Amino acid sequence: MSPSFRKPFMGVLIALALWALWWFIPSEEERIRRVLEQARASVSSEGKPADGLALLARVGQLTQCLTRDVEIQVDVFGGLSGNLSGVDEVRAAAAGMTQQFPGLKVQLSEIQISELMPTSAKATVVATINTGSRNGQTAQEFELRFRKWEGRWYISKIATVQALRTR
Amino acid sequence: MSQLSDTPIPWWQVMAIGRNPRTTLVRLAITLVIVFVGFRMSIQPILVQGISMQPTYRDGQRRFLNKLAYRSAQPQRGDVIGIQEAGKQVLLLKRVIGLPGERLRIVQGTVLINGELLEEPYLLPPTNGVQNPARWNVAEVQLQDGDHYVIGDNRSMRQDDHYFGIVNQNRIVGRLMNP
Repeated sequence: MSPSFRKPFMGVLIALALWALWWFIPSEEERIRRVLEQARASVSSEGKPADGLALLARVGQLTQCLTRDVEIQVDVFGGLSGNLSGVDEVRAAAAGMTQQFPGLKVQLSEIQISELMPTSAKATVVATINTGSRNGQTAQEFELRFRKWEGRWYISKIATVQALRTR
Repeated sequence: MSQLSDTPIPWWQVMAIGRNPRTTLVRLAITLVIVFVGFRMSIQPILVQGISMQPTYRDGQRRFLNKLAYRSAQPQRGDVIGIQEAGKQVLLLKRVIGLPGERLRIVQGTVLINGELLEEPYLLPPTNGVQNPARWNVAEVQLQDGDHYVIGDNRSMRQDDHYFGIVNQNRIVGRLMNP
């Protein structure tokens, strides 16, 4: 190899090695981000089939991200409010939602991971939810709690964050 | 070559791009970067949506927030502020009526701060015999350090339809400019 190519080649090699390191041995924060991405992708329809086996596969993909005792608390001012408890309730709700909104698209932004402990973590995210209908886009901030079990992170709690409180 | 460099540059060219176009371009690029960064750091444009700040601000109006307003000062009573609702892009526009350490309650639409009546000249006067503000009631709250009580100017709407309450300082983005 000519000397003029040696340096760029080494640079590319080092960059590839760093990428491989990041991909195959991700940091805990990166692992949590991947769980979030898996959950996001499983609830986003984005034109994917929403019935039969495809639906089951997607809901299954979502439940792989959740603990058995997962809790979801939704309280949006002037909008949706309610609680879900346990993976079965979440599975049923996710299947219903996917069928009701076949064009559902969820995007996550401003992901902040904090309180990262060996077996627990907290994250705040802004979810932009587009139901696919006219004026069907909304953004909502969520706080998520994670638990680590056998080397894998699971979502144990999801709650909406309200900017204003009464007390 | 020397003949070329001695050729006088036309006045319109000097006016448009300077004597040395390359230097002018560099200066222009630096200025644009400084303006862009400065604008992003200090000002946030907002689009008013909804009716909770009527009559002061109407649906569809465009305004600007001064993001540096509270770097060295605290929000004051009467300030109209932007609050992070969902991340940095979705904001609430509300007026500060209660400050940290104060006791606040609302009795039949009248705001009481530490037991004293708060005058609110920005509210609509009673119209056609209809009380304005409407007869809202909020039990007494004690504001902690860093907490501010915020509310919209439209008190003629139903209390349940109006989103108001206590906000922590860390969610305040800035003060509305040219209120």
